[in-house]
Amino acid sequence: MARWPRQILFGDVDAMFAAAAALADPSLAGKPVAVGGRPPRGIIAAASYAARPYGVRSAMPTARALALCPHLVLVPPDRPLYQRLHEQMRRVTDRFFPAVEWTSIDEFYADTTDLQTLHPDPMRLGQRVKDAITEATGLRCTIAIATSKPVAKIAADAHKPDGLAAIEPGAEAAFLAPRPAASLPGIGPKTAESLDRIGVRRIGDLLEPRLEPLLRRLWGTRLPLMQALARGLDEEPVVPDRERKSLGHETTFDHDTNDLGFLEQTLRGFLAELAHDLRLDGLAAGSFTVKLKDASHRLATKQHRFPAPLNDDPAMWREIREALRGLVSPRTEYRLAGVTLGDLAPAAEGLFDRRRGKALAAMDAIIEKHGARAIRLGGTSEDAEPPRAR
Amino acid sequence: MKLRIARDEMLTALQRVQGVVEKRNTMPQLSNILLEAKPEGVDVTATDLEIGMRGLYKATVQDPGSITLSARKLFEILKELPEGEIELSVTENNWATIRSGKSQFKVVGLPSTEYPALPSIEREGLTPVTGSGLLELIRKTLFAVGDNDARYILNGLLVTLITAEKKTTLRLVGTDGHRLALAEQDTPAAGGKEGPKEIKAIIPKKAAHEMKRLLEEGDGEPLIGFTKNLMIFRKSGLLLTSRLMEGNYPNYQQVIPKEKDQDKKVSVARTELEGALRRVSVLSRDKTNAVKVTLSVGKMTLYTSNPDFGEATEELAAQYKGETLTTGFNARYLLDVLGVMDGDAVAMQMDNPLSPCLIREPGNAGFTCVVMPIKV
Repeated sequence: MARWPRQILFGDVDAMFAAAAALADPSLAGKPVAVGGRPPRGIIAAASYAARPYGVRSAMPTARALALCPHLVLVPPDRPLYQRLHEQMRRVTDRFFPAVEWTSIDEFYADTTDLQTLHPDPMRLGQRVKDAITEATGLRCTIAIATSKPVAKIAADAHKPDGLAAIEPGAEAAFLAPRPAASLPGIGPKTAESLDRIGVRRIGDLLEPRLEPLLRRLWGTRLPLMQALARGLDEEPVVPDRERKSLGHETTFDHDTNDLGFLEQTLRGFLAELAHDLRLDGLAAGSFTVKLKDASHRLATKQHRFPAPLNDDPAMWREIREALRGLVSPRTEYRLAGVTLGDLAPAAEGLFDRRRGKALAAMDAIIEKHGARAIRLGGTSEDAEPPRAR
Repeated sequence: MKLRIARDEMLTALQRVQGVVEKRNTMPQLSNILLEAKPEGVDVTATDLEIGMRGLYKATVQDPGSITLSARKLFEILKELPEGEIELSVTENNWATIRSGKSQFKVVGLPSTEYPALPSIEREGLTPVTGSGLLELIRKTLFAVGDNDARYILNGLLVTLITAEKKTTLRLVGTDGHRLALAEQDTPAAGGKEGPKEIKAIIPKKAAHEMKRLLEEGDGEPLIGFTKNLMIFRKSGLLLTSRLMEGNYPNYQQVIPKEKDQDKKVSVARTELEGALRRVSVLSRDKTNAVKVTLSVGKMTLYTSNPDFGEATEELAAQYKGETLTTGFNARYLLDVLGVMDGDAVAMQMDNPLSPCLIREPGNAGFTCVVMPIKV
């Protein structure tokens, strides 16, 4: 088997959130399941393959999804579960590959160029990775191997679900030619529309000499770059994960609200989850941002630094609540609220709160094992003030 | 009010109070100093309501009286004047005139009646301490005191004064919750008739800092004493008072690790470790200054990495016989400790990678520091 000049493996978990729901509740297996918020404002985050024939897609309003598929099973997101599955998959990819780039919770690239001596057959390598991920998590994924990141990703999208594909060196242009132009990176819905108007629908059309003057008008000096992409030529390297710089969560409400108590309760809940994630990763946040969007989509944010990096949510809550109260204006209805923790840094354990630290660690372990509903801190909404001797 | 004073004498007075006067402009008179001309000289007073400082300076007073003037402007003016005598006189409406040679400044003042009075001080009951000794204790603990910490009490320095029959023990403790420094010293005392007495007080960081500055001037042995809510510090004609902080200081004794067997201990050359930490921390992550420290038989290895710039490593000879142990520290915390230590060697003790690290000076039982590690 000839050695590839460059080999990139791309893996994408099939409908991860919906599949995770079926792992948590096996009775959901094979049913049309969607993970997302409730109507009227909720958005579908992921839909199982059984739901897709009805036209249910991610990023679609839940109300619309339920109209398309009335017996759709709607499941709320379970972030700790996804995080746990993600960690398990990371352990698998870390075992196989020297450098892995996880671009999201369920997608990764690995540069396998130097693994060809060990794994001369890319299809067999792909199958082994697929099996290992299924064995570790119960999740199925699609894996594609190609000479560049975009080709590997487009190949995986074309072979979902539970697929496996390898695009041999030299076969890239032929493989890409019949695919929709919009599947190339850098072509968004706007550009796709402009391309459609000049008769470009497939990737192969980008290489048509007769369309070149029109394409040049659209892209100018970027054209050679896009044409190289259409031929499957791309040098973008696999960059092992950058560390997370921030961690956040936001939600759109079912109905616009100006109820401060409700806003506080919402952000307090997000904070508990985010702080839990921070503690699991041994991190602490140096700053936070509170975000509100009012009924007319005006965005208001407030960013603030903690006196010292924190990951203990009751201690963080005082400042976040203060920022929220400062941000909320009376007689304004809000549609969205969120909180982001930034300036993440390794957590420094305190000298005097080690007992508290141990208690929190025990709580975090229970959440990991039994879910976020199993345990939480008591009385943290109002009396979150730590004892302050003055 | 009218007086003549040497420019250098006045400048000394002004330098001493610059740290005390209020920087934020909440009450205008607090950014001023109070000048009180008396037959024996001029009293210069500054206060931010928490800390107060007063000193008597040599001056030829023609007309006694008093005024308050901007501490900063006065300092800026005096700095620019040539050496020699200056004349300061106050006319009506609280205008002060400063003359030196051919220069003349007219400065707006505020009446002294509006200036807050310093707490009245009893002269009795102050304990003599050695200036150099106290300076040393402050130097070795002040760095660990919290800075604007949410836990208010950690922004203070704990002072414990134990007077026994034959000696006086002064112990200072500072901590910001992640590191702690304790320094203590015995002074032989004349021996009071009463039994042993222990006084505990928490003084604001700023007060400790001002006390340190006064002690750094040298000459004259200080006296120190405490009332219910006040610290009094006297040294060669100077008085420094500070309100005490109210609250419970955390139980620091509990977090100081006990001395363990030799296997847990490591000893390295202090200046070598300091240099190595400075070098590798160039490539540590900006915010945490994280440095990975690995102990193995006979050596200590430092390692830092920054995803944006690269990595650095350095190895030092160390006296260590235990198992290989890898932990992490905020390099800044270690450098702060090493900076106040004396002696050629530094002794560290760690139970496991996440337990507090005990740092001591071999041969000096009076200094103990604890630094919490970080996960790297």
